[in-house]
Amino acid sequence: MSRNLAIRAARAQKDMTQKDLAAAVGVSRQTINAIEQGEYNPTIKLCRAICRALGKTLDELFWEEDNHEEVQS
Amino acid sequence: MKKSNLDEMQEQKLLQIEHTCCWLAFWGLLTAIIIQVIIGGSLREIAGEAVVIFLLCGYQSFHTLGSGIWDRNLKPDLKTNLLASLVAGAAMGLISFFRFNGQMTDPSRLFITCLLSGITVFLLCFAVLSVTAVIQKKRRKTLDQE
Repeated sequence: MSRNLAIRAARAQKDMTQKDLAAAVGVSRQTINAIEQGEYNPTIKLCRAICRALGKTLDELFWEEDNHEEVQS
Repeated sequence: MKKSNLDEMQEQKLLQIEHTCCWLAFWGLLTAIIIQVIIGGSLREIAGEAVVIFLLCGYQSFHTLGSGIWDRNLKPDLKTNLLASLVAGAAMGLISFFRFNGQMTDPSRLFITCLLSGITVFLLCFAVLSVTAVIQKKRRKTLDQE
């Protein structure tokens, strides 16, 4: 999983630290850090909470153009 | 539902840790039982471990079958069930060999004892796997139709 630079950029635009964003969505700072580093794949519920906190859409923060992830049936 | 102190990533990490602990407990108990059987422990001595391992296996079997789940890697087909039963039977044969090796002076009697215990476990294991495989497939079908 690649790093999520979109969240980091959106956070910087809003002048929020990882701790601020974590508090806004109700998770730990480690979880936000893991999402930004691409080490953790958040649930859609958390994705939506992050989008609301940063004022962005799901596409803007989580869509990857070269997404070749396989979907298991 | 009780409110959790953990967020979703911490919850997943805790589940992974608990998963590892569960399998450590399973293999630890199984190893303890096997060692006690080999060194000549009586049924009374292994009763505690046996009860815990039966409860653990019973709980897991009940809930996995109820959810229509078999295994991550293995499939509930005839070949896999035969192979798994063969491994269990061979293991039982070996355990019997180590258990009775010092007690039986007649090698042919020792061989027959090991062979019979191995075959018994093989047949029991294969029967249980076959029955549970049928249950799992039926349950899976029911869940898919819901």
